Amino acid sequence: MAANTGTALNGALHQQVRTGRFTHVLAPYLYLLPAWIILVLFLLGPLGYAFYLSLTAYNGLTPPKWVGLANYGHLLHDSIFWKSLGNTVIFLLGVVPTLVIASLLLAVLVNRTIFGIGLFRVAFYMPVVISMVAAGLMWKWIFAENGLLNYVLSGVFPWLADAPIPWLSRPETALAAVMVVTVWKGLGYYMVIYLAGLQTIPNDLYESAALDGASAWQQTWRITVPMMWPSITFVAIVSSISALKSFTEMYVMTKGGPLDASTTVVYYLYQQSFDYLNMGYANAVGMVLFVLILAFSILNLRAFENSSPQG
Amino acid sequence: MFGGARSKRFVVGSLCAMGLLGASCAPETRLEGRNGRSVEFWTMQLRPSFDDYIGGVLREWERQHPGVTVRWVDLPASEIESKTLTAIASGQSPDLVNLNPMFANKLATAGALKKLVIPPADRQLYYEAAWQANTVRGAVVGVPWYLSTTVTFYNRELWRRFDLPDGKWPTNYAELAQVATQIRERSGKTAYAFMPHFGDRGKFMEELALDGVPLLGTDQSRAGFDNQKAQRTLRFWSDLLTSGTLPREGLTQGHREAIDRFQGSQTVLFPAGPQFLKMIKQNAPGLYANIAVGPQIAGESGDVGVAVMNVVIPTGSKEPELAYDLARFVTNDANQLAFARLVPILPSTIRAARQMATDLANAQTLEQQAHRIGLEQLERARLLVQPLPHQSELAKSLDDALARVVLGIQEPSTSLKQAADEWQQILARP
Repeated sequence: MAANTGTALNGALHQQVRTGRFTHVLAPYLYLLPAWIILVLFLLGPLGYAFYLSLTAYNGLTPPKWVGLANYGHLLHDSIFWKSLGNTVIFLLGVVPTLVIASLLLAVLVNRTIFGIGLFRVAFYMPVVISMVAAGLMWKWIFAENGLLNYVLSGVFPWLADAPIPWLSRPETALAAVMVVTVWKGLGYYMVIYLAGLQTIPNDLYESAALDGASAWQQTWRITVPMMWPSITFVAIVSSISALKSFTEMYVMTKGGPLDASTTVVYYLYQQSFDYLNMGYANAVGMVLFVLILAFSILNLRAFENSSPQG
Repeated sequence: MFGGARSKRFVVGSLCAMGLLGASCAPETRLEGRNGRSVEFWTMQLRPSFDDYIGGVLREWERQHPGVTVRWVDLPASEIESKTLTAIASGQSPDLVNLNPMFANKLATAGALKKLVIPPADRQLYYEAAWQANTVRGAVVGVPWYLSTTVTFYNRELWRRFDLPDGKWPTNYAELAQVATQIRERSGKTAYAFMPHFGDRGKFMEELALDGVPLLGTDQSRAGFDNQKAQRTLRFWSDLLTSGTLPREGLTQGHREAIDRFQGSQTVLFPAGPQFLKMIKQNAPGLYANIAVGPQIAGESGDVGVAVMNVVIPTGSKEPELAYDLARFVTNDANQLAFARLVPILPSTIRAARQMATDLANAQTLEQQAHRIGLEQLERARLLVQPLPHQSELAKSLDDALARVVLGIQEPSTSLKQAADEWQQILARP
């Protein structure tokens, strides 16, 4: 009887230990489960489905038909796609360095404790909270042939009064005009990120540098920039991703024209999907963009890690 | 750390969370369906201005169909296309949708709209051009609702300021070009005659049609515009744009920009439907007091174009018969006449339009005058561009043809030849 009781107790104990081990192993996965479900439902699932659709002829309304790699093959010979890719790269090269540098300078400028500085900070941040559609419309008036920019320029170059520049309808200037709006709209946002970084740099560093006779330029280059490197990396990556995905500016200001001169990859994707109902092909464009953003982000990260002034 | 009781609580919590997540992903329940049948009707930007009118029409239809309810959803014009597309693709299709023919054409080409069999007695109640706008590859895919023809609004103050005789409006494009040149010169290059909007897909295609250029050849499989007549049209517009007589951003801007420029007194005239007066009255009351209205300025053909709004039934509709019945009810004589008395739109049924014209015989106000001119034009209006397969791509090809000439890249003949070749490739696709 006692032996039986002992065996039963042992069994129960083993059972408890087994259950304990089971929950010990299972529990972390259960903790991760909600996040995984969300990731699968809203990220990995749609990504996989988008990849599947990129291998089909699909108009969004009737069932997709399998075409294998035909959409990707077509992309190779699609001159507008290559043009849009080129435009996207130009856009990236024009916008990202400007945003990284100009917003840092702006942050340094407003990182002072003088009367009314808050007003300047708010003023610089204001474009961020304006909707891109409203901003696009406003800048359209500025860039119009009889708009503000030509009016101001004609004061300096009188011949412009007779031959104003159609900024938004010339292939050479349309994309540049859109880039100006993107930079104007993004400056304040990145300025705030830099400002937060700047305010974490201990003042002692500048004081001791000043005691050692370091000039303002040396202080900026030897203290501010190294301390700000994580922020700079972050701004570079985030603004690159944002530039690669830009769409609204073109949609509002130029409709991708003239002659696709301001068509970016995302605008082309939109055109293919909603204008022409080539959803399968649009998904192939989307997959290329995804790979591009991924590769660019990794490269960006590596480049900044390797070139960090802190070593 | 992972004690049994806590783990159990965690597991139960996770399952609850998953349950909630699952519940949130379940398809929307249409409550109306529990008590009877229901029809979902989507309209384009009619709320809140026409809440009473549309609400009244729908209540009357419900009264005539006991046990059936209508769920009315109004969407902004800029969103209705994408929402319709995603609703149909996700199997949550509305039963009846108010769309423009260009988008309806896309949906119909993809097989997403019901083909309608219209009895001849019903068909002859409406203007034929309105049916043509709803006919895709020989099948009727929508019921015409309200129509519009283009009238021309003039800023009289600017008109007089630039030494143009009051009331002597240009009647054709040749006169329009003269007026545009005079305005540009007399204004000291601060104002333009009007803002073209070739950024709107298909606008140049319409201009070709207004000049009587056939878009398709006789066999319908190739372009019909690779000729001197089309070259003349192309040259006309590119000359106006490249010379700076009209703003060059007209190449990339849409109708919205044309409205803004007119409301801002930067342009002297504005071709649009009579219904746009309401917007001008609201946004620029000072200008509204100075507006005069005239008929559409004619191209070489002298034709007047008609714009059509229709209602279509997606193939995913669960109540297509009821939806068709509702479509006919919303667009019948009495309801269209009542609608036209509220806002200067043109009814698509002949009897309602003629009754409206009689009502407006002694038009007094500006809105009434614009409305009357629009109605008079309707009797001879035609559909300028028949629904074409892959219409957006065809339209872009012609938009690019114009852009190449304006930007000095090609001569009109070469540019149109290139567009004609592109059309042949596009038309050859299934």
